[in-house]
Amino acid sequence: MTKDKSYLAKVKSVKDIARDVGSFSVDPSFFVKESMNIIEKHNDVLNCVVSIDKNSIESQLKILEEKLNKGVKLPLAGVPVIVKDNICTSDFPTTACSKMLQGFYPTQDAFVVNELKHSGCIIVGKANCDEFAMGNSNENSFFGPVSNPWNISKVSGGSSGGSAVAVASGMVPLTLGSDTGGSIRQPASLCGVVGLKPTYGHVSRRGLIAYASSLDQIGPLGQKVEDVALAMEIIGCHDPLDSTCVDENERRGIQKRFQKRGKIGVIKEFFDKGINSDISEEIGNQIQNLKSLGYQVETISIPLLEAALAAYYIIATAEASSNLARYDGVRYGYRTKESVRNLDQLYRKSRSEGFSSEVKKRIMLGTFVLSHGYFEAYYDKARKVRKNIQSQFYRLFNEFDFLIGPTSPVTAFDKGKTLEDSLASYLLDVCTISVNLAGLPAISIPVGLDRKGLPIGLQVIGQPFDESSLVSIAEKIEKKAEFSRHFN
Amino acid sequence: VKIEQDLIQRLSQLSQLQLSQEEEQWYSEEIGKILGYVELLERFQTDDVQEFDHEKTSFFRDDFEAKSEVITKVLSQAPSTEQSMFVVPKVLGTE
Repeated sequence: MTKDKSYLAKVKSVKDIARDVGSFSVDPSFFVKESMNIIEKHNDVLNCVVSIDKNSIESQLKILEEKLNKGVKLPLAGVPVIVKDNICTSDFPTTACSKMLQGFYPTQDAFVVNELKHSGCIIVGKANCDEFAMGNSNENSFFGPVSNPWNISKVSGGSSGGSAVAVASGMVPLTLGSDTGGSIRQPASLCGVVGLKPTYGHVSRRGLIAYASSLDQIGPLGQKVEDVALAMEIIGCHDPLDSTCVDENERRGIQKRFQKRGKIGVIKEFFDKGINSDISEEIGNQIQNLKSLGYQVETISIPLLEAALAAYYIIATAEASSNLARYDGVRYGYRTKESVRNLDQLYRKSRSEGFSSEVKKRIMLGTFVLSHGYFEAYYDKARKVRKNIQSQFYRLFNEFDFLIGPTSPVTAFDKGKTLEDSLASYLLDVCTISVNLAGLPAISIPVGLDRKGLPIGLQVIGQPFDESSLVSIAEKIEKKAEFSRHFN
Repeated sequence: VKIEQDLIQRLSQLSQLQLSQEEEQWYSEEIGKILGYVELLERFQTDDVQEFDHEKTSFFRDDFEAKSEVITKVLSQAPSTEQSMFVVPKVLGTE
């Protein structure tokens, strides 16, 4: 197979961009224009960007210029950013890649978008994703599938596939995604970029279109750990308007309960049946690297993880069935064009036409597990299992600084595959889902290629609210792996 | 797990969705497959799990007064409006 790398491009670091723009070495629009050029060149094939608004970009640049002229110091001055389409932007359509929300403009920016803009970022577009973030191949999007820049016949992963590809193809140095069961880390892994899923409650979800509220977290993706870390600092500040967002004091309190002992646990269950042998081999190399850095590495077993996927699909769909009840064709979003006799018919027809079959399936499954007679056996059982999984992780973090394993049991797979067997495709989330159930932070770092030349990601799970230690070990891993050499 | 037709009809009704007969069949199979898989949860003991964290904590913040000027913006997103109201089909007096 020929290695076509024409869709991959190395990006300049966010810090360098901000320095060049902030010091007037280049025009404030310089990197934004560069970014627009690459989008124009490659988006027809990659399909990772679903909307662009030149007027918005112009007005954002004008504000940036005014601030710079006044001498305001901005940590992300002139950095072009693309945001997943389930994160609200008032000047770009926000559709969660669903027919249900075509043409929808939110009245406000999401908290994270606001923070990025205040730091000097320019939002240049919205990223493709699976509809309402439900999926792991980005094939379940109203805008069609995203192509993997490493091999365009392969999927990008998902649901934040567009966000991962926009970074891998060098369109922008930074994107935002959201992660409910692996939706930042898995596409990051399949596209050879870095993706960080923060601790639940570290980043405000205000303005994130809800899928499963107790699992959803927004996080950054980039080519370099350093860039992702910088973005995390910006979006990770406390938002009093999201009641699940934990303030700095409480974060420190939780963090203090855990200590650092220089020990890393390798989760045995992540290497069970079905894992690609190139991946297990590469993760083995990484374990050696970590040992050479002075860490004590031990294999551990968490038998309870076998239950994680089942618990996830009950909890996530239960929450989705409630969250997606708001789409009724009345106040915003899609309304059926057919004539209806009453309000009930309006709801039913609008929802049936506006949602894809995958979304409808999850809504009905969620309705089932919450319904009278089944609640205890399904939903209640699942949240008890979830609680046990979380306790088990917390106990392990009394002994270990980090837990590691692959991010995904497979590298990027052929398009069309997940559509054939949905249950088999759900099982691909086996390495990422437990982290959401436990609310922990985790990062996926690209560490190597399989024999087909497709990226392999290492997942590092950290102690709650200790993203800074997570980032610092990720930087060490990144340095040893030298993955950036694979980019043009 | 077998999902009977009356159950899938009840679920679609509760979910405010309208399914064709063919779709009913498909969703029954798909949901049945997942429910078959999640049965494995029965093997995991959970008798000792009692309280949930979120039940212990409540989050309140002080109210604050602020001017809101989003009404026009909100209404501009609706499929059908009249003055400052959303237009919907007849609610009462229909079957």
